[in-house]
Amino acid sequence: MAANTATTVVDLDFDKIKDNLRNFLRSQANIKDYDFEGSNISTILDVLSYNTYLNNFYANMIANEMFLDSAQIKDSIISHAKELNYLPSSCSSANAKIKIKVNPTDNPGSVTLNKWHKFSSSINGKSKTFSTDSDIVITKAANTTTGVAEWISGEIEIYEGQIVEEFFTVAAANNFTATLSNADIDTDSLEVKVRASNTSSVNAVWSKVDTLFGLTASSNSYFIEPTQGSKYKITFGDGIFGKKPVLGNIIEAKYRISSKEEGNNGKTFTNVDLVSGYSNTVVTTIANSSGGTDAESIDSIKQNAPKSFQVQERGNK
Amino acid sequence: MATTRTSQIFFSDLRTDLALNPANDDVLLTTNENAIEQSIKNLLLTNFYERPFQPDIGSNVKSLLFELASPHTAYNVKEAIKETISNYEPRCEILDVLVESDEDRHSFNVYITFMAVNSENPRTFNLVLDRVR
Repeated sequence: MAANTATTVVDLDFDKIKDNLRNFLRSQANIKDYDFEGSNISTILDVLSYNTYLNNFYANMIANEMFLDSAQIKDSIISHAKELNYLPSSCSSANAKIKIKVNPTDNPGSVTLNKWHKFSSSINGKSKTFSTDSDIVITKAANTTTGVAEWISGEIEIYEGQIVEEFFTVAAANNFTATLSNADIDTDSLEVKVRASNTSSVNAVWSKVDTLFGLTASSNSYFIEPTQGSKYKITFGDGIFGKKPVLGNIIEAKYRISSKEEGNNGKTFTNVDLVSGYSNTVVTTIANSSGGTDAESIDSIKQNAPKSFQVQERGNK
Repeated sequence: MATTRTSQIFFSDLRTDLALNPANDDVLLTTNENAIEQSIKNLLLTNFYERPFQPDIGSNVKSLLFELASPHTAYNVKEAIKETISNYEPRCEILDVLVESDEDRHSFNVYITFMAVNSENPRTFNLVLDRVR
C-alpha cells in the first residue's frame, strides 16, 4: 500500500476530500474501481469523506468560536465579551415626552404618579403600553391667568414596554443566579427587590453595580450579565463584595419587555391607571415616542467589547 | 500483497459481504465482469438522495415498485435501468434488459445482458426487484 503521506487533509469540501482519497488509491494496484460510483470501494470512500468532512466542520467551528474576531454564534460572542467585562446593550424602549393634567374631585395639595404608572398608545393599529420610570409628584398651582387651582405636571418621560414581574426563590446557598426569561428586556428598567421569605411582606430594593469597588458585606447590590439565548441573568455578592442572598429569600425582578422599533412614533397617549385615585386626566404629547431599538448586534459587540476593555471606563487618555 | 492470477485484472473491487480469504485473512476482491455486475446492482438498489452530497447517483427503480404492475411500469423500470447504467457505469455496454413482472410476488425479475469494454463475451445476470414493505 501507498504511504499515508500521499493523503492530503487540508481540504474542507466533501468532493475534494474524496478526490484526495482517490488520489491516494491511485498509488496502489489492488483495488482499481475507486473511480466508478457504483463500486463498493466508492461507497466506502463516501463514508470516509463524509466522516472527514464532519470532523473538519466541527474542528473549524470550534476553532472559530474560540476567538472574538472569528466567532459567529451570538452566545459565543457574548461569552467572549463577558471576559472583557463588557455588557452588550439590551433592547431599548421607545420613550415619549408628555404632560398630564389631573382634575381631582376635591382639593389635594399634590397628586402622585407612581413608578410604572401606565399609559397606552395605538401605533400602527397595535396597542402599546408606556410607563413612567420613577415617582412623579404634581403639586397644586394656581393658573397664572384665571387664578384657579390646577394640577399640571412638568415634562414627563414615559417608556414603551410590557411590564413583567418575575419571582425567584433562593434555593442554593452559594452562587445564586436568576436568569430573566425575556430576551427583549430593557435592562435600564430592571428593578430588583429582595424579600426575606415567602411569608414576609417587607422588601428591600437592591441596586445594580458593575464593579466591586466600594462594595461591602452589607451592600444591597446585584450584577447583571448576558447569558445564553441573548438573555440576561442577575447575580449577587458573595458576602464579602456585596450582600449574599440567603436560602429562602425571594428575589423580585420587575422590568419592561421592549417592542423595539414597533414602539416608535406613538403620537397620542391615554392614561390607564388612576392618579392618586383620580381618573379625570388630560394627556398632552410633547414629543412622539422614539428611540426604540433592538439589542446590540453581533458586529457591534465585536467592535465595542475590546474598545471598552481598552478604555476601562477612564475619562481621559 | 502479491497474488497470482491466471487472467489479467482490469477492474477490482471489494466484495459486498467483505468476506475474508481463509488462508491469509485478506479481504477478498471481486474482479472484471463480476465487479461490474456488482456495481450495477449497487447503482440500481441505491435511491436518489441516498448518498451524501451526491443526490444524482442511483436510480429511481425502487419507487416504481409501488406503481401498478402493468407493462407500462415494466417499461419504465427498463428505461430507468438503462439510463442508470448509461450514466454511471462506463465500463460496459448494455446489450439487453428484460423486465418480467411477477405479480404474485409483487416483484420484477430483471435480466441484464452487458459486455465489458475490454471483453468480447456478453454476460447476463438476474436481479429480483421487490418491495421490502
